[in-house]
Amino acid sequence: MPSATINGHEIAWQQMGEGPDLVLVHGLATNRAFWYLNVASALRDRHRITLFDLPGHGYSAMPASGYTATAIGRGILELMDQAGVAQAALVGHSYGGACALEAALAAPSRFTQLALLDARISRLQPQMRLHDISDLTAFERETAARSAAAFGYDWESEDEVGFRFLEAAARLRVANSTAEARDEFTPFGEGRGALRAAQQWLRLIDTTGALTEFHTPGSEIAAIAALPLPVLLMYAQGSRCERSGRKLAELWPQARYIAVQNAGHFFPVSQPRVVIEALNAFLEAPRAAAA
Amino acid sequence: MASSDEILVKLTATLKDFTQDWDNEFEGEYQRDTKLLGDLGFESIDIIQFIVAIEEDLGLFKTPFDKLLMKDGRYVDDLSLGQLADFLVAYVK
Repeated sequence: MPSATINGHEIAWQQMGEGPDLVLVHGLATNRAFWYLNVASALRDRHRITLFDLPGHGYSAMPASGYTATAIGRGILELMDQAGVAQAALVGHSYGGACALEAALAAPSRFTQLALLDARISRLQPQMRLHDISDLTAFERETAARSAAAFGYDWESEDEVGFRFLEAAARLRVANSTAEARDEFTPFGEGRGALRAAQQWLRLIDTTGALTEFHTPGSEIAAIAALPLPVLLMYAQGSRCERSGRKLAELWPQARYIAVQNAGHFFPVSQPRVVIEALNAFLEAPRAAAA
Repeated sequence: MASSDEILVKLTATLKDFTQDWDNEFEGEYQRDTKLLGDLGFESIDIIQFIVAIEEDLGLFKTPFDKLLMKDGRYVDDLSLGQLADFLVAYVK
């Protein structure tokens, strides 16, 4: 199996396609299949794509610590060294975007462009509360009700609802009491394998320092503002992460901002064509300008 | 060129190695119609990782597995070992 040793722990990774390098970073409670099945297959004709599983996810090891965006960002740079990637365009979804941002800030010369897709940046958005957005999805409503009844979750006072929804969905899956409602993408909702995915997520948050480390803010705002790279921001309109997107757009007035319509947080899975077209246009732009 | 049945034998060996640590309910013999998701409890990451293992074990490189995994613009719901073997006939020397 292709694996790299990053910070003393195994990271599962793979490459596909040919062309300028592109590194894709998935978010929490998914794995590299998030990209492979929807986006990477369409971009491999134009790029050499490096995919990997975050620590504690997929086929990567689950160390006791090393889950801050800063630590994973450093890990991305080490993986690039081991994978023979000198310089790449970098794309991250959700927490993967927060990690990608830290990698880009730590070593901007290693990257040509940065795309952040519905990435919540803790430094700019320290809390995520239930009523940050007006409408809960059907799945969220049912998951909140079931988990409040089963585990006593207090959703009104929760200030990290994103993480808590993943935890609730996983615990309900393991308890065989999962919500019947489905979103366009439902965490731990996919077939028999979903049980193992839910168990893996619970092992991660119950037995490692990951959950605390996910909250740890990365670089200071001034450093973020000074990032010297072309940036694409794609955020689902009405997503809880949109607040981060708006603040990043203020810090980076030159960034391209796309509000993805009629989509939820997992739009790279539910609307891959929108993402593929936006990335193709963004990644081609510097080469078109240079030609 | 290897036949589909010859490839199936190799796939079975790779699969046994791949799933040896799994806590799996499946107790039958692997057959042509054994389904990765329905019978073996694969999830999408397992398919991706299994594909990587197949490429390593069969000495393949850049096999267009998308053609097998996509049908009419959507990802297939499941995949049998026989389908996988039939697909690989064109690529295994």
